[in-house]
Amino acid sequence: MRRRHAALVALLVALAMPATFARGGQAPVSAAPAPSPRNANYSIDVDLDPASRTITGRAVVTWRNLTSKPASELRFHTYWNAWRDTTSTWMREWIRGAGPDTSELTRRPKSEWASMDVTAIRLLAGGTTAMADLLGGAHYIAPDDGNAEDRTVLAVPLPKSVGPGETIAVEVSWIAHVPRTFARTGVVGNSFFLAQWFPKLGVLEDGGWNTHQFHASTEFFSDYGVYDVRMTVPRGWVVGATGVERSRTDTPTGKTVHQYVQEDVHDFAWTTSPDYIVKTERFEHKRLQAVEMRLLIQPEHASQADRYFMATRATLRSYGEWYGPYPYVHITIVDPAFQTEAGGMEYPTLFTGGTNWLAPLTVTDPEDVTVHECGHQFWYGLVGNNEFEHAWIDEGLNTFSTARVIEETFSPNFYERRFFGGVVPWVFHDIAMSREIAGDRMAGYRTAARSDAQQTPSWRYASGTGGAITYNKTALWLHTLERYLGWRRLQRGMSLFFARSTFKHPTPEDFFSAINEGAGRDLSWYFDQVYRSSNAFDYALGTLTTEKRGDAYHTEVMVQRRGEALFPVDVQVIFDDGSRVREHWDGRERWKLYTWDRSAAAVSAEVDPDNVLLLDIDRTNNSRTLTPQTNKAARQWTARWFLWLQDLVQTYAFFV
Amino acid sequence: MRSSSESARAFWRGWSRVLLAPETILGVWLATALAALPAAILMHDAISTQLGSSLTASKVAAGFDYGWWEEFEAQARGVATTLAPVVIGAAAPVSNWSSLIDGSGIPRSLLVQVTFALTVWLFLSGGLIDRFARGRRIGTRAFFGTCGLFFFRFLRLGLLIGAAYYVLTGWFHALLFDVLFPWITHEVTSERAAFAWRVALYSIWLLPLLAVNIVADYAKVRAVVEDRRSMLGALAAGARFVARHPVAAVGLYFTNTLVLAVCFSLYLLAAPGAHGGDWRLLEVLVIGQAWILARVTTKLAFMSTSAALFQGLLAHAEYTAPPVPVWPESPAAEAIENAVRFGVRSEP
Repeated sequence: MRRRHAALVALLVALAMPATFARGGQAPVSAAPAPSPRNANYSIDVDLDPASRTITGRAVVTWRNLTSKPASELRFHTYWNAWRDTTSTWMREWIRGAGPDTSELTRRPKSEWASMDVTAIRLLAGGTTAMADLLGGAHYIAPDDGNAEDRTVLAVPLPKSVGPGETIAVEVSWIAHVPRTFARTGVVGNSFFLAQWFPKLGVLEDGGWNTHQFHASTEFFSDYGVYDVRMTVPRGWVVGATGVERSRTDTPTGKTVHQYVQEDVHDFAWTTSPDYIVKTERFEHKRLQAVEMRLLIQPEHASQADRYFMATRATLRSYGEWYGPYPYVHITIVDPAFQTEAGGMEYPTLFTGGTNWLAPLTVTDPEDVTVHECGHQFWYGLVGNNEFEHAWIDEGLNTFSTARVIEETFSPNFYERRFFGGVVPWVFHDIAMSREIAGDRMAGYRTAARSDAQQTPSWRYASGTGGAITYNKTALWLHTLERYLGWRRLQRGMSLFFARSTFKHPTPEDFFSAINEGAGRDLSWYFDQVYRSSNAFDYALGTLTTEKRGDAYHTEVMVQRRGEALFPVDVQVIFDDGSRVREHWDGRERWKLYTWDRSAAAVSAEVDPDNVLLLDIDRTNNSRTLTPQTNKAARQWTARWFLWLQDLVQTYAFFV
Repeated sequence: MRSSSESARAFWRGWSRVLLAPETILGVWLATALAALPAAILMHDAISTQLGSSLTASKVAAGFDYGWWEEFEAQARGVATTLAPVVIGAAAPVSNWSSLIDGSGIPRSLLVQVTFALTVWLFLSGGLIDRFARGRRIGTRAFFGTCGLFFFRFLRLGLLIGAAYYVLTGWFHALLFDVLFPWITHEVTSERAAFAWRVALYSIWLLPLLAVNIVADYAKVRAVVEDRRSMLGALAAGARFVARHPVAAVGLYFTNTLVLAVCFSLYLLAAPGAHGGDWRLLEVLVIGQAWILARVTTKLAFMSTSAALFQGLLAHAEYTAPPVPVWPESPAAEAIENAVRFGVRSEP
């Protein structure tokens, strides 16, 4: 094992050091350059003990300093310590957001919490001999909030700085207790889903280590590299992981070692259970690379395998055609077990979907989550944005893209409610869910529209609002931009951003400049509104009057800007002879008055009649008509509601 | 054998007494509807105010506009917060049964309205049981006189039975679904298996609930038919009757439940959806209210068939220990008087 490790370390160090070779000596003789920097490489051995729910791991981490400054320490994320007890920053934020009901925590026995204890850190160089014990100087830090009890960032001082372009290799050993699921990671029954399960290096930038504490509302950020992982699990258990299985070896102790390897990724997750059923299919496309799709599905969902494959194909096709190709030759789709709460999450070349035992075909929730999580292979996996600070780049762009795919490929999608413990579905075939309402998630945005400017670092959003700003608001302003510019221009900008940012860590400015370039114009005024401010949009039709003056009708329309944010909108008036007029308003003043003298009386007026501005938090006030159908509408729905109330009375008359 | 034949006879007798008294069905329907009407006025106002003279109203009049509903919901207060897609068609009863069984309860904003409507039901119950037990029209004055007479007795009975319901829907429900269910399914990774456990717990919860309901029915019947003053006595008498005739009582109860299930199946097929329009509104009113009438009728049939069963098995004219007739005499006294005077039983 140690000899194999030494060879691997040497190989990884060589792969990670092209700059050093170039500086000091001959240029490396190699094949095509790696697509990613491969500056954070992991060779890991991990043993899972299902009975005690612990994992024991040892990793050789090879890291190259890509910055222009020397690094005097390493910083590791030890995410699982967020779930040791209630004193971590993650827990404190979760409790704050949960309100008075924290029974989910108080009911957990000690055995269902997590821990990640680093037991050894040694500096390696050259051969197999450990050079220095680094554990003694290692200490936890809290760079975000100073919480001394938070143990999710481990700083490891180095005896000698790692200069720009230089490489270091360290061996890290740890023991971690697998919790009952927290944040999609953990175990229920025999179903293990393991993410953020190893001490993972942060990202060193010119300004220093970008290694945030683990927050309740944020995800992750790390560098690209090669992962070579050997997972020891009970024999007969199915394993799914980032990468491709390279070998499988039975041990004399009744276990099996599964080796998975993947280049050019920034994370590694894995799952194991004896219950998975394995199915495979192939994605093929004229212009895009073929991809082997491997599905690990629960027995009770086996009949829904086709839905998973169809949704994954649709994503690889649509995102590939719109933005750029998926470069890996395989993808693993995991159907999580009931109660594991591991569903709806993304990891490089592996993602978790989610469905129900009873899942009507006309409700595309399983497709929605599959497209979204598969879509993250592009936004997050290939474009490696900092999810602590700019979560909107992956979540928002992906939510927008997912909604587009669902509308194009999986319509109609009907509204559903679940009864009797949330199990029995009831589909409302009269209520089709639209892209802007369901896909872009308007309702969630509306409640948090003014809570924070999007440019606020994600980890600092107010409790309970991060999702609405990150996912919903971004999807809505992108969709608005699509309607404003046209899809072709927006798609051009997004594909430029994708091409420039693949295997990199882009910033918001990278995105905005790509969109400006794709649109062929400067949209800074727009990004100032949607990204740099917390202003909300609300245009309204203030008044509509039309009165006969002599032979003509004098019509006056006053439009208002009730929100603080600005956007150019059209104003349309319809007359009783069927004619229409349309004015374009720059939307800057608080109100504007339009007047017409025509032979016909006005019937109705509307601001933004084409519904371009999807961020408008109140669309009902956008129009007025002189022949309102209000009473008819109120009668329709009051009658139905009254019927429901009468039925409610008869239901509880059981007790009388 | 006797039980099942009496049960069948009581079913037919009870249902025919109800169906031959359409004024009681319509009266109860109207009374409970009027009790809930003020809430409907509030809802109408809330929708009208929010829509104003917007063009959105046309879309809302044409069908369920989900985007509009989300806007409405975001600003709704009080009763208006209960407007949701579940009011559409057959989703309404399913949603209400689900909320009862899962312990969600009555929405807080409607607690007053629903309680008032149930109080109206309680007030009418005494007169209704009396009417059905006699099997003949009794006139408005006598009907409401009996309602008034038994209302306060039923309030006392309600305290006793209510305590049992409170324990069953509160503590026992929480024990089963908030403690036992999570404990049993803690490591279950199959939704199907977890639901099977849930159904089992539903059954365990429903059994005592239905048992109390059946006993309560016969307690009310005995209180009225035998003109009992003591509600503790009526409750004990009801329990004794059910204990001595379990097959008949339970069989009748479930047969009536089956009728309700058939009515629901028909409503499921015919219930209008979310599309608007004047004709659709008419459909909602006609088909929807037909469903409510079916529910009211079934509820009345529970009362009537229980009374018929009791009278068939026990409170017939040859029943020993006849009460001294005191005006307004009880149905049992009337039956005896008729037997003495005319040599006939008082049944249709």
